[in-house]
Amino acid sequence: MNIKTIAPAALTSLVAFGAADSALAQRAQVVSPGSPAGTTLGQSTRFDSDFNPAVSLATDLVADWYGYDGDSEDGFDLGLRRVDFLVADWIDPNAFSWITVAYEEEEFGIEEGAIEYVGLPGNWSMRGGRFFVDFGKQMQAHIEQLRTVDRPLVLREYLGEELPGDGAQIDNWFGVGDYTLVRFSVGVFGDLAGESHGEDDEVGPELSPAERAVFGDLGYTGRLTGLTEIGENGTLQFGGSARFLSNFAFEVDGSEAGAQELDNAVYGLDLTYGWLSDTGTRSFTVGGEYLMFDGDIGADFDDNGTPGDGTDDTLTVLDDSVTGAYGFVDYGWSQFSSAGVQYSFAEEPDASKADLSELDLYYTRRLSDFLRLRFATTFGEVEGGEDYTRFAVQLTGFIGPHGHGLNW
Amino acid sequence: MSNANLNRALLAVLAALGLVLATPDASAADLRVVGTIPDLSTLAEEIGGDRVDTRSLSRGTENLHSVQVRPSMLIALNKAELYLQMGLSMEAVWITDLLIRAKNKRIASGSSGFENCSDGWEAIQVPESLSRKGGDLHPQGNPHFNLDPLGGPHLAAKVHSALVRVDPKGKAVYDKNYEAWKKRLAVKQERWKKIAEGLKGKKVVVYHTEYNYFAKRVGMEVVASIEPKPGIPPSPGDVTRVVKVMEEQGAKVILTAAWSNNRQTNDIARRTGAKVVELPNQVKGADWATDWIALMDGIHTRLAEAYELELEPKPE
Repeated sequence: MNIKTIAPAALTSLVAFGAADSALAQRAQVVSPGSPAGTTLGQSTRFDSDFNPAVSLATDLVADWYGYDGDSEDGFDLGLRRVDFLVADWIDPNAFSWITVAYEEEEFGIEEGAIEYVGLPGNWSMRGGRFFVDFGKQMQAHIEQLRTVDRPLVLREYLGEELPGDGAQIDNWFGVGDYTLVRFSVGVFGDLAGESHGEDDEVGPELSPAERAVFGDLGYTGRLTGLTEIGENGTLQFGGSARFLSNFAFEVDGSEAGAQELDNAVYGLDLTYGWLSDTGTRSFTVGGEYLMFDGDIGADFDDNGTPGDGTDDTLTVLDDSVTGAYGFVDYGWSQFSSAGVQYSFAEEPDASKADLSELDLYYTRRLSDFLRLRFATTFGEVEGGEDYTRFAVQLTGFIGPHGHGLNW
Repeated sequence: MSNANLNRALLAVLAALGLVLATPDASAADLRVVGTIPDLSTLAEEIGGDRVDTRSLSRGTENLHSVQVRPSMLIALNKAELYLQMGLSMEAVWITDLLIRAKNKRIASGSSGFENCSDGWEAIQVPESLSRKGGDLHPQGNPHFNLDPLGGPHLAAKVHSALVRVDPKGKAVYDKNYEAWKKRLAVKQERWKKIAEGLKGKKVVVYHTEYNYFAKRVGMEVVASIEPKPGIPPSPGDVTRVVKVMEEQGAKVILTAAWSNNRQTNDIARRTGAKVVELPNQVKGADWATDWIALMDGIHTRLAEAYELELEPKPE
């Protein structure tokens, strides 16, 4: 075989493969046999934008004033709390994907990046990647989407300000008659530690999941919920949720003190009733959730011996149970205005088990479907600590495509 | 919790769910038709007759762009064999997730059980550029074509063809009922034509852009919208602007819907001496709007009364 025969054939092959596939990296769009598989872009080239995903943004500005009963300094703070960049689209007829990049506290982070497969039979669907876990009614929402400026205190204390998990979740729902549906989900996660925002000044043990775990040591979530219609205008929802975190460690930077092979669980029961007028302009919602945090719920670090010497420190794990709850009432008297009150309390998950509580009063004005202004007051009580009062103004804008998803 | 306890808990939950899942579905054998709004479901009921079991997702009284999702909607969509939507993004905000979660391939977009009833309809107010500066815009144009006097016939034709496609065995029934509907319509259209002659050239103010199709078809002149942009509530400055336009143009009638911000509408009416005519924007939005023909007949009647036109024959 001579080179004059091989060269045109090779060239033809290169062109043919290049037309079918495209390289993922920014290099010449020619893929020869043996190259890493590219993605098929269908009837467009990699320079067309016809199949670009939907992009949207949420901008959350908060200005607030804190006043403390103790020695802490009162004062104002205002600024950009958070920006969410959301990209979403269908991958194929049976799967869609979304990615949320959050800018918060001067850092970018991938808060969600998941694929949901809806091609399973029946009402099953499955998602994988990083996504907000299915716990109660409020943990699936981003913070700027909530009724209140912050998540209820008990959720922050037991689950974190936000709870994205790296793993997979399977969902199903079924109808019972024509007006009641039941949904359940089971999730398994490699990382389910939760996130705390705005409390980075706290010094103490940090929770870290095991790098590799056997099946029984992974993190798990489960939720079972039912929704039923009451009359023409009401919907009642009840649900139970659980989050199991296994084989995690408490570690302290710069110290040899630590504890491994720990586990804990959070259980929740929620109940919500919503009423909406015939015209959809007036609404009334009342709801609440009770939580129990059980197992290795915290750890106390003591810098014993020589200060700064990490070899003589001690760390005491708290193996105990604490409980808390929140409840709220919200009334909307027009499609633009609503107000509500929320009360949340929790036993602090540390050795003190101090009673914490927050009372929130809030008024929300929707300037349009895409711009929301909120005024809120929070009265916080801390057993053995400083009580506080907060006045906050929150302005949140949403840019791009939007939809009213199912909150179930 | 130990692994053994966790496994037992999960097994117990799955066993309980299995029992419920095993419960047989006792739904009827009729063709199950779901329309997003009562205009579509009542047309399916009239044309489908006894062969269909119809259900509307919206009640008829709400703001169509933000209908509240209820459990029964998901169950109805899950069981549906034919799904009828208005399209032009009228339902896009709330229907998208419902259709995904309904997991019903019979009514998935592109399948025979999916009917987008705005196909073939020439929309008005198609935005030249898409920016939220223009408010809650619909990219394909004004979706409220059910309020066009010619909207009903278009929708009825769509519903009829969809029923025949999904259930060809029922064609004879559907043809017969469709012809009967058209005859009933023809009688009313004669009446509407006479009223429209009286409405031609009349000046009117609307709260939202719902009645623009109607106004255009009968030759009324919409001199102002109380909403400065679609979906954007009016500011005090907007109220002043509308009052000024009404005084300059001599507009004496305001059309509004039950879900609209009627406190400001009434304020404008008080300041200008105009009449407020609250109209439904879909079937079942009022007691008298029992189906599409009744809806359109009632709108003509109430406008004729507002402009003090002679009504002949008398309204039903």
